[in-house]
Amino acid sequence: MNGAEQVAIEARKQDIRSRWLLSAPALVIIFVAAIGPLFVMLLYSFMVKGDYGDVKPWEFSLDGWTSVFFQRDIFDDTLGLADAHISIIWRSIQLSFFTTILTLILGFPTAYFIATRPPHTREIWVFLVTIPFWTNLLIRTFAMQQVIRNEGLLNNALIWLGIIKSPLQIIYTDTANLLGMTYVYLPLMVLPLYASIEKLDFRLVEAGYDLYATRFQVLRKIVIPLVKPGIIAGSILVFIPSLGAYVIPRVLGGGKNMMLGNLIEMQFGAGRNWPLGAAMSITLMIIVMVALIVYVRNASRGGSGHV
Amino acid sequence: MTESRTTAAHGGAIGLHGIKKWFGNFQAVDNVTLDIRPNEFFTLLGPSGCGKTTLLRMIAGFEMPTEGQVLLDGSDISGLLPNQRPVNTVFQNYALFPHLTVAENIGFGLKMLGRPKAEITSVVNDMLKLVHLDGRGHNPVTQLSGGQQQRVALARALAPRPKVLLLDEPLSALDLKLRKSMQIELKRLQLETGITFVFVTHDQEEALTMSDRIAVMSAGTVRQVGSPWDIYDRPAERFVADFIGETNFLSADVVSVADNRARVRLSSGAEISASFPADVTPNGSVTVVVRPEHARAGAPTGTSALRGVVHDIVYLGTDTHVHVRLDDGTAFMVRQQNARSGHCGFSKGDTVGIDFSDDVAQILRD
Amino acid sequence: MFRSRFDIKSQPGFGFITLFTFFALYLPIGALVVYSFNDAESLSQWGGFSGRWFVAAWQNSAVQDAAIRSLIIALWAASLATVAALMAALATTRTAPYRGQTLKYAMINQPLMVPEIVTAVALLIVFSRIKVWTGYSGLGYLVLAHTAFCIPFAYLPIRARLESMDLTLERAAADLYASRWQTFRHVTLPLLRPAVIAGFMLAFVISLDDVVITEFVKSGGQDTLPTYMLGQLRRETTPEINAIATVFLALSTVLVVIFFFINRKKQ
Repeated sequence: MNGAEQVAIEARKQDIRSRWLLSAPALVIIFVAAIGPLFVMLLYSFMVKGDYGDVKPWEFSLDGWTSVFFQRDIFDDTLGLADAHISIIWRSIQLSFFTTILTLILGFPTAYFIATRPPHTREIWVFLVTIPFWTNLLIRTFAMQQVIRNEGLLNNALIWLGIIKSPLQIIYTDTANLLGMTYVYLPLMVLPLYASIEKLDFRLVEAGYDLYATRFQVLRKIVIPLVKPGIIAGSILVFIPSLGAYVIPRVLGGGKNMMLGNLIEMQFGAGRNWPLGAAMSITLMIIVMVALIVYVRNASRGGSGHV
Repeated sequence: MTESRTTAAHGGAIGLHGIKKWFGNFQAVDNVTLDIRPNEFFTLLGPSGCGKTTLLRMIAGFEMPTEGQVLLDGSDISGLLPNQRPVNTVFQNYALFPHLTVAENIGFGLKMLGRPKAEITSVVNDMLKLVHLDGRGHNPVTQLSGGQQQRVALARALAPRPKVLLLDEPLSALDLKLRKSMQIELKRLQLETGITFVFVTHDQEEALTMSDRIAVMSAGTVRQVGSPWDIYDRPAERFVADFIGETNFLSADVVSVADNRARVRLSSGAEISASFPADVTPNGSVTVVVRPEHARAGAPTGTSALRGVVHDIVYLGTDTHVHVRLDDGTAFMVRQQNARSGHCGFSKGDTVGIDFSDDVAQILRD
Repeated sequence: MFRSRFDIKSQPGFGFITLFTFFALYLPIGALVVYSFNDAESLSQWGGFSGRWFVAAWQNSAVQDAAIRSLIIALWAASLATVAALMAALATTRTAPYRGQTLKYAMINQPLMVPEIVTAVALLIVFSRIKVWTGYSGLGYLVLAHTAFCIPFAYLPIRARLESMDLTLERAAADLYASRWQTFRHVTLPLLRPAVIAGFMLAFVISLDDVVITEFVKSGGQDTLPTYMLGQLRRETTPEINAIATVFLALSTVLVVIFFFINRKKQ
């Protein structure tokens, strides 16, 4: 090893050191105000709940975790399934799944249509998707609320058209949650889909037609397999926030149609059961992680046959 | 202008001593030793991946050699960073700063060196004149044509008056016509500034046109160093002969060696005289090369060096290539200049005799 | 008879679905804006065109306070996040992989991977305790929390720009005697400027829009505009809230337009 080599190794070491220094502020901030608190929450989930919220520090118990799925009978002290919790968790998963499907059904054709416009008009379409994307989630939820209220735009229009006599009860139902989430998260599906369809090499589509494929076969066998990364990205971007939705079910679902997010919030408010809330939050995180892993695995396995 | 010429009149000498460079498990440069003289136009020529660009980057300081030393005027600069070396580079895609004007680009190096504004302005103006871009100083570089960008890149690298200018395939992005005129331009700039130019290219014609000396590289090693004439007419080995221009390979037996010439017997039985590399004493069976334009085809006579049958004639405008299958089965090509209009005088299937002058054949190192 | 040209790109029904999508995207927002000009007391009927709810919202001191608070937090959070993200982007791009780099990526993007409500309650747990210990309950907690979740958004465009940036430009600068700092100052930073602005704006809007984390972290009397609106939604709403939403909407639209043009200029 000679001098120049020494210099190169020294320079590399110093480079890595300065790279750690440079990234330190971001890492520290995220650790203090995002990652660290998650660990504290994990700790809290194993503590005894305080009488007026919070926990009794350093008194440990598994009650928080068992109460996620089980409840103690008031009379004979036996453990039974916590039906209310389980049904809310199950509803959250179902609603998030259907939201993903609905955004995909609307979002894929939209993204495809935009991506196949001439470049100049394309920009305008993308711009039009971006505006709702940048609009405050609460405002969009609120806008949806005004449309589906009993005296809202939708019911008034249907009555005026003579299709129905009295208003449909949409708000404060699961349908309202589903409509709201689809509406709010639709741009999150369209944008990544658009990005991957735009990169699609349409000579491959030409080749497909040349080899006797029909329009549907071209879509099914060429376009969809090739834009799979976009479909995966869009689905993840919709599914994760749907599962943790808090504002939308609070505004549109009402008290009866809670989702996991609202159930968690309740433990920190009226429920005064912080360990349970902490355990539920971690459960939510675990569901998200499992969904992510399953989805990405399945998608990549399915995709490998085509690409 | 006069001042800049006198100060830059002494280009630096580059010494590369035992340079080896590994990228992980891949050896890009294998034990290269080269001496580049002051004020010369030196070219590193070779196919892509031969290590020529890596060598250039080690002179610039973008790569550090794994082993060996880089010397500038005798002192070791291996450990210096690029911004500490009085060496400037013209990059392949020019690497002009898109957010700066032409003048700001040219003055960048001097500004970084902390030179006074007045000096920068005057040098930039000199440089603009030197590369024929007077009055374009305030243009954004993004609005220039490829050829103009090339000139800005040159001016920018020359402005700090480096001891050595490194050029990394700077002409490859230009079209043929522009490339030809830039070749002449580069040679002029090198003579005018007196700076040592180290030029990297894979284009043999470019190398032959401009260089004082050429190093032909292959697989991380230098195969031959010499003047364009040496490289073209006296290739030392098969790779060099094959890489530069077109050539014919003939097998032959050495009959005798005297002074710097050898007598060899060709497969046809004819004996010719051939030169050979200085470090070789030819004996036994050898390979001899003859350039196609150094051979003549005609009606076969008893004294013809070679005999064969024409199997293809390719008309190229300036030349005609006559492809001949020799009696022993070897392929041989004769290049005839089309001095007169009309047919070359041969047809497919004709039997021809081939002759060449005594001083054109070269024996290759094994 | 000639058949019209066969368009290989078209798929039946996609145009129709697209139109429906855009109709569905814009109808609720449009209705919201229209009703902000409603003269009536309630959202249930149309009482004629009027700007009075804008005036009412403008004069409402609670709205004023919340708006100012939102802007202060967003400015601080976006500025801090952009600086931190710029530094982090410089530290994580354009290098051979080194130990800990993947960890950095994971950490920086962590706020994107965890549902907001989870981060919100975790912050509630930690900050409520710190508030008791230190006695400080100012806007600092909100700024810190917002900065953390804004970092990945600011990081995204800066990193993308850095990765697509031609390394030879910086090499050229080094070749022309620029030190590392000079290279950054005269070459890297000017070339990054559009991405830095884009990152800042993205972070700014993300901070301005946040409801959930703010709702859980804020102390009493620290409503931002979104949490104020969320509180109002529990009551019977008047078009005043539409007026606030409309102004908010206009602001984000202006930001999108600016963002759009910055991106376009870059291409």
